Parts: sequence; C-alpha cells; structure tokens
Amino acid sequence: MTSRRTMLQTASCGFGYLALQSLCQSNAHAASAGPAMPARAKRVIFMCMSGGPAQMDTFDYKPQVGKKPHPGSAFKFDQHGESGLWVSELMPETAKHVDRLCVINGMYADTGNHAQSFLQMHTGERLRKRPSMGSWVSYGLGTENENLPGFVSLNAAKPSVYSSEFLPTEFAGTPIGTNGEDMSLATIRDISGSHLPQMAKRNQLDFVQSMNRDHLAARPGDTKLEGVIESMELAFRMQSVAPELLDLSNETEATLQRYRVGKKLSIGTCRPTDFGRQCLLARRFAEAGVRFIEVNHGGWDQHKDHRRDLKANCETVDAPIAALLEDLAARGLLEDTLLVWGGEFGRPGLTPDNGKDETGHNEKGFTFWLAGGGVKAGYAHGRTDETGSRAVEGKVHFRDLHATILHALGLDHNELAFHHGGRTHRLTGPDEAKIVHELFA
Amino acid sequence: MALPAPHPALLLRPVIMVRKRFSALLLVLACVASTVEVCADEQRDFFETKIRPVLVKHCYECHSADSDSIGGNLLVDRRDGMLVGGESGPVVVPGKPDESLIVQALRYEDLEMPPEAPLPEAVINDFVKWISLGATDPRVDAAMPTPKPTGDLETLWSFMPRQVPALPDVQHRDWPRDPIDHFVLARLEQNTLEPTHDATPQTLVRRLYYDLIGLPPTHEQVNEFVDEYSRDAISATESVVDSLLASPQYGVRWGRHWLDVARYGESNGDDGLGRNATFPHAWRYRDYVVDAFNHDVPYDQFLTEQIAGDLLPAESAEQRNRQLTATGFLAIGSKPASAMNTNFAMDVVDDQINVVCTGVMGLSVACARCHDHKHDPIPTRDYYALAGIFSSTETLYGAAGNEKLTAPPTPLHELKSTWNESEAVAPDRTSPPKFPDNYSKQIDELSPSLHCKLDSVPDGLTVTPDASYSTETFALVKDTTIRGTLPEKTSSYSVSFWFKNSLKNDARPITAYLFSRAKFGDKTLPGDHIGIGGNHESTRSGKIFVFNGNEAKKTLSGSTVIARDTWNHVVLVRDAASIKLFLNGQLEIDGELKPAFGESTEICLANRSDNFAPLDGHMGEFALFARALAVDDAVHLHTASGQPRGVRPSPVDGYAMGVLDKKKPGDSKVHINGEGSKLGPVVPRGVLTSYRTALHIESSPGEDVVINEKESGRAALASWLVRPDHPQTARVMANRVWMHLFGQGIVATPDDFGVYGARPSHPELLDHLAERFVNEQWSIKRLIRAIVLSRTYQLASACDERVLESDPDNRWLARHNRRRLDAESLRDSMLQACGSIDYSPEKGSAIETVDALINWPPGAATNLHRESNHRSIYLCLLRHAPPKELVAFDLPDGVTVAGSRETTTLPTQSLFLLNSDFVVKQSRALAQRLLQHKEQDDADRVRRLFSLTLHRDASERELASSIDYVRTTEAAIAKTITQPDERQLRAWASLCQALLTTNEFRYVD
Repeated sequence: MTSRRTMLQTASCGFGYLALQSLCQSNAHAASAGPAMPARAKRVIFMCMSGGPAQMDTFDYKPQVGKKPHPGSAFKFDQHGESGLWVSELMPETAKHVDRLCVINGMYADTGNHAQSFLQMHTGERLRKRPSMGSWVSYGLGTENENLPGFVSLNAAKPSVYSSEFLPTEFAGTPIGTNGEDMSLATIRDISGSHLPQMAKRNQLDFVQSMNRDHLAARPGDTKLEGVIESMELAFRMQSVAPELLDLSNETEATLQRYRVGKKLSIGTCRPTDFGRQCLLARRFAEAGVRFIEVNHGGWDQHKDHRRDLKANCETVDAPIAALLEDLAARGLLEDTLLVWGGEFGRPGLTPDNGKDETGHNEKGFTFWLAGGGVKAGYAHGRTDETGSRAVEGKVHFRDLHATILHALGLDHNELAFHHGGRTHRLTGPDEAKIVHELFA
Repeated sequence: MALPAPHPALLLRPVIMVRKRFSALLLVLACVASTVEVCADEQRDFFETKIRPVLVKHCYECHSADSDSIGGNLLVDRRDGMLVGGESGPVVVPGKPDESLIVQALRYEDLEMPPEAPLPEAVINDFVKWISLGATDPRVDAAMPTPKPTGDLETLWSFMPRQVPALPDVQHRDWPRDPIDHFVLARLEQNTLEPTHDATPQTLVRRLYYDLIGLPPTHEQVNEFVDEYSRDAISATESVVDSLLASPQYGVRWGRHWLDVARYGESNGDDGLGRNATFPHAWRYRDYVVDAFNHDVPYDQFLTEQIAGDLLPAESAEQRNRQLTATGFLAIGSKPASAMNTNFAMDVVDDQINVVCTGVMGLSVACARCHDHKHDPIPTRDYYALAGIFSSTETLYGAAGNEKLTAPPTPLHELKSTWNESEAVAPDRTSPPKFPDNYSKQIDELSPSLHCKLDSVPDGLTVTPDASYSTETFALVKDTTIRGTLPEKTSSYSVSFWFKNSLKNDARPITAYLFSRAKFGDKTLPGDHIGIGGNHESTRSGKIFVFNGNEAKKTLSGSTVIARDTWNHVVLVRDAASIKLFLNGQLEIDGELKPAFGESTEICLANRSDNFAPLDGHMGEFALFARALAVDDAVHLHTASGQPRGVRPSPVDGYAMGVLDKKKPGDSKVHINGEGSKLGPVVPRGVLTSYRTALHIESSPGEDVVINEKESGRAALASWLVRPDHPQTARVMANRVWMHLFGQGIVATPDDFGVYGARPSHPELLDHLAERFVNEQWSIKRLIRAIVLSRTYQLASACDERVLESDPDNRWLARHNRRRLDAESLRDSMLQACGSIDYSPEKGSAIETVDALINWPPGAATNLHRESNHRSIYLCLLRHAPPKELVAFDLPDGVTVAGSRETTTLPTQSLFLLNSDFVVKQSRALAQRLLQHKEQDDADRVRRLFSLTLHRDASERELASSIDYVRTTEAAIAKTITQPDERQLRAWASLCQALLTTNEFRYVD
C-alpha cells in the first residue's frame, strides 16, 4: 500500500525529478518545466582531484616561446593518438586513451581558497552549504537500481560535498570510506552482520514489517511510517547487492593489476588513497546503475617539491583512469557514462631550468577533462595564455561546467530547481550559466 | 564647477532619505550648470578618454545600477553616485585628490580597488589630475534607481516590539484549559477545524516522558499513571510533569537541545585541510549546560554566563569556574585551518557572531560579513560593530591537537578549587645554589646507581661535545648531549638533578629538554622525556612536563612557570605506570603515564634522545636510581640541599575552553568582501541598531548600548540581548521550547526569524509565550510546564481524515504530531529496555587526555570512542567522527547552529537496526535477561518482552506469532548453531531485535 506521496518521498521507486515532472505537473518546482531534453548520458563518474592539479604538467602543454624563459610546462609532453592531443609524460597510460578525452583548457573559478573553491566545484556555491552536484543529478534522474542509492561518494572529503542539504535526504550521497580512512577497507556501514543467516534475517524483517503494518493500520495516512517500511526493504535489498559490489575478490588478478588496486603511494603531499580500488568500484557501481559516483584522490596541493609530488600523484591516478576508460569502453558503458576529471583549481607553471620547485594556486586558468557521455572525443576546448596564467579563449566557469554536465544528462539547469527558504535554488546558482555546446559531438 | 562637499549630516542614515533629497538638489544644480557651461571641452575630453573607460572597465561590474549587488552601496556610473558615495562616504571630493576615497582606494592605501590588482600608476595619476581640475563629469544623471526596499514591514515581524495580546474569543469556551488553548482554538475555528480528541493516558505519559527526559516510562509507570489519571486526570498529569522536571534526566534531555544550538563538538572537525584536532576540555561546557537546565538557571542569566561569564563577579571558586566554563559557548566552534589563511582570526569571530545571532536572535547575519544583507535590515556596518566586540575577545580553545597549521595554540581557563588564594612570594633562585658540604654524601646515602656532581668531567657519562665545568655553576651546556645507561632494564627508576635554563620561555617551540630515558636516535621517541614548555603550546610555556613519545603521545604537565635563569631541582620517580615529579621539593606532577621505553636502558641528560631542543644553561648534581624512590626520599633530595622549598600554586583542577577580554580592545574595520586584505572604514563596537531606523522605532532612554573603551563589549552585548523588551530573544527561545514539545515551531524555522525564515503560524500565541517566559523570570521549566499542561499539547495524534486532508502539515494544531525518536533517545531507550542503562552522568570524556589530530593515522578516530552505557549525551561528540551508535539518525554535525534536526528516512538507518554491533549486542543482553528466569515459559517471556520494550501487554495474536517466530528462527539456525542454549539465545535475541526495530518502539504518538 504505497501512496503517491510516499513514492515521491522515498528513493526506492526510482522516481526523480524528470518522472515527477510528468507525474505531478502541479508541483511548484516542476510547473514551468518544458519537455525533457534528450539525454546523452545516464550517469556520471566524477574523478575529484582535490588540491589543485597542475594543468601545465598534465594536459595543458605550455612550451617555451620567445627568448625569455617563462613559466610553463616543466615536464616533457608528446602528442598522442589520432587526435594529436598533448599529454605529459607523467600520464603515459591515460595518454593511450587520449582519443576518448574532451579536454577543457579554459576553466576558471572565483577563488584560490581551497575550501571555498572545492565547495563551489561540488555545489556551485562557495560560501554556504548547498546540495551537491550528485544530489542534484539523482534528484533529477532518480535511481536506476532500486537496490542501491543514486549517489555514492568514495573517499569523501567531508559531508558538505556529498550532502543533499535541503533536497530530500534520499538524494544525499552515501559515503563509502571517508577521507583519512583506509580505502582498502572502506565499506557501507552495517551493510552486513553475521549474527543471523540471511534467511532468518528475512523472517525477522517480515516479523518487523508485519508489526509495522499493524502499527500503521491504526495510524492511517501517515506517509512517514509508510516511508520507513519502504526504506527497510531497500536496506534489506542493499544487503544482497552492496557487499558483493564492494567485494573485489571475483575480479581477475589481471584486472586488479590494471587498476593497480592496493597500490598505495605515500610521497610528500601524495597520500595513499587506493585510487585503483576506487576506480574499479566506480565501474562496478556504474554497471549496477548508480547515477552519480564520485571518486577522490587528494594531495595535488604540492607547494614544495612540486616535481616529486606531482609525479607521485600522477602515478597514483594514471593507470586506474586508463583501466576505467578501457573497461567502460569495452562494456559499452562509455557511451552513456560521463566521466569528469578535475580539481578545485590549477597551479601556476614552473619556469624550466631555474631550479624553483614550488607552486601555488591558480584559479584563473586550469584544466578539466570529460570523456564518454556523448562528448566530443579527442578534442581540446579553450585555451590559456602563453604562460598558462589565465584562460583566454573558450572560458568555462564551474557553473558553466555544471550546466553542461546536466545538459549531457538531459537536464535543463534552469529548470532543475528546488524551492527552499523563500527562494528557488539551482545547482548553477543565481548567475547565468552557459552550456558549452561545442563539447558535444 | 563648485559643488560643495556634502554636509556630513547628509551622509548619516537613513540612506534613502539622503539620496532623495540630494538628487533633488543635484537636479537644481544641473539646471544651473547647463546654462553656465562649466564643462570645458578639454576637461570633458579628458574624462571621456581617461576616466570613463577605466570606470566602465574596472568598476561598473560592482558599482553600477546594473550590478547584481551594489558593492558598498556605491554607484560610480553616475555623477551624484560618486559625490554622495556609499557606505564609506563620498568617493570624490572635487579639487582634493588626497581626500578623495577613490584615489586612496586606487593607491591601495586603506581600501584596495579594484580588488584583483592595482591599476597602473599612470591611470591613478589621471584620476589625481582629473579630481585636481574639479572632477568634471559630464554624465547626465539618470534618475537614481529606486533604492531596493529594506523589506516590507510584514517581513520584519520579528523586529517589532512584542505585543501583549488579549485572549481571543472562541466558540467552544469549555475546551481551553490554558490561555495557550485559546490562541490555538481561535485559529482552528478560523480555519473551520476542531481539535481532535484528547490523547489516551497511555499515549500522554509516554509522550511526556520522552519530551521531558528523553526516555520512555516503564510499563509499571504507565500503569500507575493510567490508574491515577482515571481518578483525577489533571492532578495526575501535574504530578508526573513536576516529577519529570525535577529529575536529573531532564537536564540530559533539554541540555542536549541547547547543545544543538551551541554547535557542540569535542573536536574541531575537518579544518579544510583534512585535519581534525580534539577539544579535550569541551565536555566541561556540556556538563555546564546539563547542570544549568537541571537548576533551571533563568534564561537571561544562562545567556549572560555564556557570552560574558568571565566578566561576571563571583562569590566562590565554584561559581567562578562555572561562569568561565559557560564561555565555552564562544570557543567550541569549528574553525578552518590557519595555514595560508589570512582571515583565520575573522573566521573565529564570524563563528561567534553567528552562534550568538542565530542561536539567540534567530538572525543570520553571516552574509553581512561580505555585503549588506539583501533583505534583513542588517548592514555590513552592524556586522563589523559586532565583529569589534569579538575581535576584542581572546578565544581560548587550547592546543588544537598540537598542530599549529590547524590553529595557533592558546591557553585555556584554569579551574581551581581554591578561592581568594593569597599570592605567595616565590623565593629568589637566580643565584647558583650553595649546597651544604654533606649534600653529595646525603645523595649517595640513597644508593644511586650513578651520581655525578657535574663540577668536573663525569665518570660514567659521555658528554658530547665536552662541556665546561665549575664548582659553583656545574656543567655549562648548550647543544650538549650527556649520555649514560641504567644498570638494568628496570621499569621503575628515579632521577634527580639541578638545572638552570637561560632561554626565554617563548623563544622556541620547546624551551629545553632536560632528560630522556629512551633508545637513542629513535624518531618515534619511545620513552620518558622531561622538558620545559616553550611557544609550541602556550598553556605549557615555562612549565615542566613529561612526555612518553610519539606512539603513546601523552604528556603530563606541571603548573609552575619556571622563570628563566633560575636554579631548580627536579626529581622524577617512575613507578611502573605512574609518574611523580617533584620540583624544588614539591610534588608538581602526579599521574599515570604509559611507559614506552621498553627494554632500553639508555638515558640522556640536558637533551632529548634524538638530540632536539637541548638545554641552554647549567646542569648539576645528577643522580640516577634503578628503583622508584619513596616520596620521603624524593623530598629529602631537595631538603638536604638547604635551598628554599618550592611554593605550590593552588592546583588546577581542570581546564575549560572559553573567552577573555583582550588587553587592548579595539574596533573593527569593514572587511571588503569579507577578506582581511581589503579593509574599509572603522566601525565602533556595538550591537544591531540599524533595524530601528528601518522600522522607525524610536530609541527610548537608556537603550543605546555604551561600550567602555577598555572592554570588549561582550557584557554590554549580553545585557542588550536579555533586555525584557528585546524583540527576538524571548520569542526565539519560546519557539524553541514549543518546537521540542510539538515537533514543529510556531515559527517553522527556529534559527531564522529573518526575512527568509518562516512566518509564525500563531503570532499572538508566540508573543503570549514570550511575554509569559519573561514575566516568569525566564524560567524554562515553568514555560515547559505551562505548555505540556495545556489541552493542546495533550491532544491525540490521530485525527479524522478531513483534518488530515485540509491541514496535512498540521499547521493549525488540531492534533499532536507523531515523531520519530532522535538518535539519543533511540539509543537510551534501547539501553533502558535491555536493562543495561546507567543513568548517572558519565565523568569527563573519552578524549579528555588526548590533545591530538584524530584522523591521522587513518581510522584513528574510531578507536577513541569508548563503550559506555551512560546516556547518549555523554558519548564523545567528535565532529566528523561521531559515535557510530548515533550517527545514522540525523545527528547534527556540530558545525553550524542546528535548532531543529532533520528526520530523514534512509536505508542506512535500517541497516543500523538490522546489523549494527550495538543493536545486536543490546538484543542479546535483553534476551539473556528474558532467559535467566528458567521457571518462565515462552509466553511469559514474550509478555515480559512486550512490557520491557513497548510498555504494554502483548495481544493474543502477537503472543502466538512471537512464539512461532522464535521456533521458526531456532529451526532456521539449527544447522549453524548446534549448541542448544546458544541457539535459544540467538532466536530470542533476534525477536528482541525485531521489537527494538519496530516503528512502535521508535515513534512517539
């Protein structure tokens, strides 16, 4: 006995904003919504590189020009693939997949303050807590797998970046391993228990649910109590799916090798995050139909020992990224999975051969790349100036990136809104955001 | 062109008035000017080519009519905008470039504009020239844009003075029991609704227990109440309410509500750089709050103590300690890292402003840090008036996990049990001590394993590099290591020595290390290390401490500050796990310290085992004992020296987080865009005042808050907040109390009484409650009592369908709200049902001796929680690493004020109930409780189980299905659990777990 209200209030039925739009036209935030846009992608994997990856030593090649030495790329670059995109020597494995990448070189942000820019990258707002992009996406699309939450965040930095804030909490990210926890062991809390065999647990839940239904029958019309009954069923179903999803023992040794699962490099700012396990889990969650999967590797904030620490960071993420791209492509998932790679800002370049090995933050120009999900492959968009100090062409702000990601999913960033606290909120905030149409094939 | 500089009076608020009047004036002047042709072509060209393009390019984004938000209320896209100026006054004074704010700003003097980077000097010179020549500006001013309204008056309802509303007339005159009921019923009747029936006594008593003490009544208590209720409902209810309000469990429940407002946490939470430092003393504030609620401290006093307790007079040590602890309210906030953060101090201030304004007044003023609040009448100026108060306040949060990059360490309030201690005069120890001739002999009589006078090259110790020696001042050391060994691997040992330190106590992180027993060179420092604190942690500066290495990471500190260049005697006695340290013959440190030296017998003197912070000074009469000396012997080692004995300062019983006034209070400057690097004008310290102007509320005599220049102004702020006629304070608290009793506030947004917040559903009722609250001496207990004895509170939560349909959110209160147990009540109820609860307050905190970063190494935080059967408020509330028994059920994160909690329904909550160690363990305990009575049969057990968990009798059907369930489960696990007793226990435990999981257990009607 599920009421329409409960259906909309619980995540277990797969209802998102799009479905809601057609179902309840009178609903305030959906009232003005036009027809749904075509969706290129069905889900997102966000590879969050916190700390500010050095774009000029990864994907934005800035060779020396003119006679006077100037800041630029400190590492060697080569052109790769048919597209001939430039990739630094630090990313040899990813470089093999360069023809799948859609590189945005003209990113810019509002601030060089880590915490604020990190929040803005996730929520569109740098000063106040707002729903995370993953929450907006699962709110917009609903869930594809009724046995799993719509948004998971691996090695999550902090609750404010996976929170649904004022969106219904069913759209909150489910954290799997928090920052600082050993990711090799990270799991969903209490996902299993050995005190009873599964069959007995089902009996137990049946007993509970029968009491709950008696309790509800005496309290007709209480949608919250209905919601609990639904939610307990989802939890029960998650027990049957999630532990298996989190268990990598049925992956082949070769796969584990490709992803470098268990490899934990600890050099300077580069901290062990078992990024390989995260990427492999991301693939598995994507296959299982989770809408938004965030994986995290921190440590890109290499102020001192730039070269050494950057090398370690690249080494940590390079092979896992390549393995993920390869697997998604091989399984036909790359078509409808949008990969997003980047951090809260970039870094200024080093002037080669002058011995300086320190960098700072640069929010005026940096790089993101996308792959899959209907974006142009083997394409570079936008440009920074000759020293990479600022974006000069094809500039893309976080809010533009957000609008573009939503667009790929068939969601209109202006329509995907939620009324709260006296005004209407959007992921892209009050300022006008531009969809970067050039990025789509 | 000779426009007069505007008269200063015109620049005062209200701005709207000035603008209107001034543009009218300009209009007149413009007419005159057009006939006189003051704009020479040349000057006009200069403006058009050199000035206007710069304004357009660099300033219009924030300072034009088209800007999203007009920076500092200043418009430079028009002539009068520049002449009248914004919040900081006119920006152009024709003919006087040096007095023109725009030039100062372009020069990056006080203001810094444009914010991104200074303009080239040539451009600035153009502006100087332009202004010198009279600031010719040919722009014909469009009419000034209509100033954005400061909000219509209805939206500013909470700023209006409180009314004393008359009791509304109602049709059903026999229904109301209390004035509260009149207000509610009047609204119901207006909406053509009528109240549902009264709750049954069974429902009412369970509701009262949960609402007042956070625990359910036992089955016996339910029956007893039902019995008395049938005789005299009103007196039965009054009597149970009074006994619950008098119970110490009341403070546990209501104290926790306040801790949500106070954003209570026992660690800093993630500082943005992944570090999370413990707050080992925060629990004292928690205990203060519980205690204050139990004693029903009047709310005005409660607030005053928390904001300015350190400034209040006290008559006893106990009172002083309590008041100092109360100021923890301002110190327990979560801070961003100080590393690379020039705004750190202002971030602390911001948190304090926020907790006071949001917590007490329900006003979010945080936005005003960067810009005038769009709708609420709180301009940036008011924000910085408050900021001045808090930046004149020193925040004592402690050592911040001994990691300066997360926050610079501060001292803490010292709590002492002695009152009026007379300042004892410390003896002069600056001259080298002259020991009696037999001193060395007396040391030897205690049979040290090694004794070196250190007046010459010692036998049995290696000194590198060699020191110089004298008979008066012994070994002169600096970067010296003196090494030796204990004769055996004894776990108990003692050392005695004299030293003089020549460095200032704030010269370096650690002033000096004096002695180590640890394996040489091991970077993890496994062992005992005696040192003198330096500037690393200001609470330990100049004090002797013993540290047991980086693994165990515990430090015991003394309380005496050892002055530089004084001679002091130290005896350390290690007796297995305990440490006693005597300073000048007085016991200075006495505590437990895990021995970490293992098998190592290596010792070193005048340095640490890894050669760090060596003593710069002198060292003499060193003696080493391969045993723990008796106290008398330890004291004798000093008495025999003939030197004056140490004066013990009265002992510090503990430390508390809190605040103090700074020595030199001062006003704050406006921080443009909230950044410390761009400063605007100075704002005098004060409270929120501007709304009075906005609402045309006349100031009454004595209302102006005067802040003494020698004080921070916290006392004045507190007394302003608790004025009986303060428009928000009483309303906000009355609403909070109402919300906890009804599950929803009269104002649905308890932390937001501003324009964005919800409007009161029953404004007269809110004013009535607030008025009553103030008139009843701000007694929270009396307010609660009045509400729960009202007929409205005692309504059933069930109602007919028509009510449910016409008022689904129960805005008009035709019924009571059904509520889910919060995290604490759920755990406490389980502990009570299972018979494991300990109702006494738990002492201290799991982390009271841990001053460290809790998230490194990974997973470390989870090991810090300790198992406890005390009530949940006493679990360790580490931010971002909360206790796992509570975390699933919408525990607030302790970072922001959380007047109301979420009540989410998430699968992770169900997983907690299905699988968590806590629930499984409690279920097992409950099953054991049921099974211990061997004489009982299964039906008896089921009846008892229902009685213990659901506080009612099981129905026949439930009885049968429960017994059936146990049998089925036993059969289902028969294969895996072969031991019959264990099988029976598991099956019953699973039934217990099922009942603890039911909605009936977890929801209150």
